[in-house]
Amino acid sequence: MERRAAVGTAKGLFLIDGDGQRGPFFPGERVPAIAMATDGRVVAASVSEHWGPTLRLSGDFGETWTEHDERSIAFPPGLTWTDHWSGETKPAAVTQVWQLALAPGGDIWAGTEPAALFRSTDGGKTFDLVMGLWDHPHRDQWFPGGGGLALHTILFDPRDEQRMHVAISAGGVYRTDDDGETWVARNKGVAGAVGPDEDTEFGQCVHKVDRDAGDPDVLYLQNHGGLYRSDDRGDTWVSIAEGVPSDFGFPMVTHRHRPGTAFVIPLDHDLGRIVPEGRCRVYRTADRGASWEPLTAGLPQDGAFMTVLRDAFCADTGDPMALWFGTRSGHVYHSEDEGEHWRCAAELLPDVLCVRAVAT
Amino acid sequence: MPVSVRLPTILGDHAGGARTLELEGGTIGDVLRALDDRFPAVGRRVLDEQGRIRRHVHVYVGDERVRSLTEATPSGTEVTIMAAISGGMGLAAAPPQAGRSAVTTQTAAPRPT
Repeated sequence: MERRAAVGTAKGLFLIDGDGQRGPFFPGERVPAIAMATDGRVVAASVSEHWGPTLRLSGDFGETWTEHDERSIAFPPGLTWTDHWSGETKPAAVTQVWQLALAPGGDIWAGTEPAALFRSTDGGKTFDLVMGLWDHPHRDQWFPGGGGLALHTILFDPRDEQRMHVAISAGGVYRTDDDGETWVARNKGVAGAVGPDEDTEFGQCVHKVDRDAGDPDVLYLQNHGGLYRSDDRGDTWVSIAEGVPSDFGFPMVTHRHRPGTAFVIPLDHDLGRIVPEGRCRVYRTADRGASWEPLTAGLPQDGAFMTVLRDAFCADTGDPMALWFGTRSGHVYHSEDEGEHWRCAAELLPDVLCVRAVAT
Repeated sequence: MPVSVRLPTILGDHAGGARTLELEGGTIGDVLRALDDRFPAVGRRVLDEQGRIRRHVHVYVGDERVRSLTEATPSGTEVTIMAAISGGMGLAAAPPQAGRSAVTTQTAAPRPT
């Protein structure tokens, strides 16, 4: 079995596999979103600070890339959105793709900033804005997080291709049961982060959501403060934050094969955003969040002041499953035994923004 | 009205290697839209999908930097497209708040034991 990872950084994309490390591809461009499949397809979204966003496609695990001349992910003319930081209503233009997801049926989905969902049915040449979400009456009240108003999570339901969850900072979790036509906020029980109302229907600053390997109704959520589980497709959420040193963090990764198992990397708090006590620890639950255990072997346990962003932690497709995560200080760590032991797979990279991996 | 448009190398690579293009247009907006029509991989790097010049792209008509798409481009005008000198600035970077000191005193957190 060969394991491959694609690492999106603030200064290009790197590949790590059995042949070592290669890159950067797209040097100088931020790469905040990658999707990768076991058949060799890779989709990567990059942003040049000067020349804007670009979507690139590969059919050979990222060794070679193509891009279409025309804009691929773009808002239709005339649409606007309100930036609540500045109070301005602005023309809607994609500043960054935050999430790419390859659907089982072959479609490619993209989550963007400003927060919107796009779908491609032609392999990534063109994308259509999902109007059902764009026209949602809550949208004008979504408030940008510090990173921007972003749709950063797309989750498919393996039993039902009409159902999907997305997560928005700071809008919360939304679910469609009719292939994107209509959407309902699904945040009951998740603490609000952007206002005084603790029981708000939407507006939560959800950082990441992932789906259980055994029961697709079960979801795990890392909030901007708070860890939660839903057993009913997001209708209600319960706290599962007992046993971690901090309930602040960005990623949430579920086991690809084992039900009830998920991984997080706690950070100290909102104003610090580094691993607590200078110790880099991955926490694993094997009982649906009832308890958490730290995984530290091979990770720095003294003087480590690292940050791991929401998409910089992932599980690959292998069985046994490997875990990968990258830090804003340019390290990539890799575990082939589900987190029991880690090794540094790369260091001195630029700021790691996302990691995606497969096993073939 | 024919206008000469000079591209930086990185954009010329998306225009068949050309460094200078001859385009038509009575305003800079017309010229940039003509650029987008002819070389969309260049056009989308200069204009966003709502037709605005990207924030960190400089467009000169002669020696004058312009942001307005209605700027006239008489026949024979030279248009130059450049990257702004802003490579170290993140897109989300914000200027310091007015009225506040840019310098604050901080001490290092104690090393954990």
